[in-house]
Amino acid sequence: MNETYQGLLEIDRIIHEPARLLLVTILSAVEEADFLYLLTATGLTKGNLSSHLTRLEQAGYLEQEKSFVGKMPRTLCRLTPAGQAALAAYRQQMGAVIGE
Amino acid sequence: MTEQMDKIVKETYRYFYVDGLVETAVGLLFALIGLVLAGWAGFEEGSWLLKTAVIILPILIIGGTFGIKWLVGNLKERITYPRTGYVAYRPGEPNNKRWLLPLFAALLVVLMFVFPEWLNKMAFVQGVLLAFILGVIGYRVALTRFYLSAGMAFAIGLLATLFVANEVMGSAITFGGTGLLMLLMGLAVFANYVRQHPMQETS
Repeated sequence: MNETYQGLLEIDRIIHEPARLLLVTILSAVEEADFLYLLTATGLTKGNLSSHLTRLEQAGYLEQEKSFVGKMPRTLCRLTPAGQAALAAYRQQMGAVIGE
Repeated sequence: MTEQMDKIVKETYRYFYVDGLVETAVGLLFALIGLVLAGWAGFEEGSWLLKTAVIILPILIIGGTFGIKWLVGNLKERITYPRTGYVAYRPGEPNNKRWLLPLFAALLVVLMFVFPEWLNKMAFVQGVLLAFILGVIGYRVALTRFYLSAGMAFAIGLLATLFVANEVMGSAITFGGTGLLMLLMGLAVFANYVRQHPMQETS
């Protein structure tokens, strides 16, 4: 099979989903961000955002840490080294397929 | 696609400036530096006021630099994070300026050859320096208002060099003018941000 086609078939589907790609891209630029920031930046609903974060966490691409700031709960999200590597690989694969 | 992803990254960096707090604080510091420099230029030689201005200036610059970090961090914790969320950048981001110094040195060398007589003018060099830093931040986070501040800093430095004979007063006008402009712009952005983003219940 053509190498480019093969690359397309091997694309990471967890990251390839648009909302998760957006989340992973945002988190790749920072050390960590909280749930509220991700909610504001992506425009997703709370439920939708929560399910995508859980999916990324299950894949080992993301860590979540729940804490309190005063009386306010804060959920911090950060990309794991595996998540960073998966995003880098995804960018490389997509670049090869699209020809960027 | 990767271009779009780079845009998202840039937008994430831009969040650091979304509330106008950084510009307000830096603008206030520059305006104060301008005020002290104006005093330096205006006070009588040997007077206690001049001596005070000379002592205050380095304290203001060093203390202000550290004070801004503390002040902005605290204000963000109380105002920005409960409204639009918390972001911790990696060390050096989004203000990674390590490469700025060699680039600015190169710019100065070019200027030295193109306008040799201008490099003796303190206000002009300061205007160029401020314009350069603001321009780089504007480019890095794609924020038009920083380009505007950069253009104004350059123009103020140039005008101060052309029309103000006293070098220290020229510097005072460059710092004070640029600072005042940044302060007003920052406050306008801040007021708009607070109006548009009410406090949230979850973070």
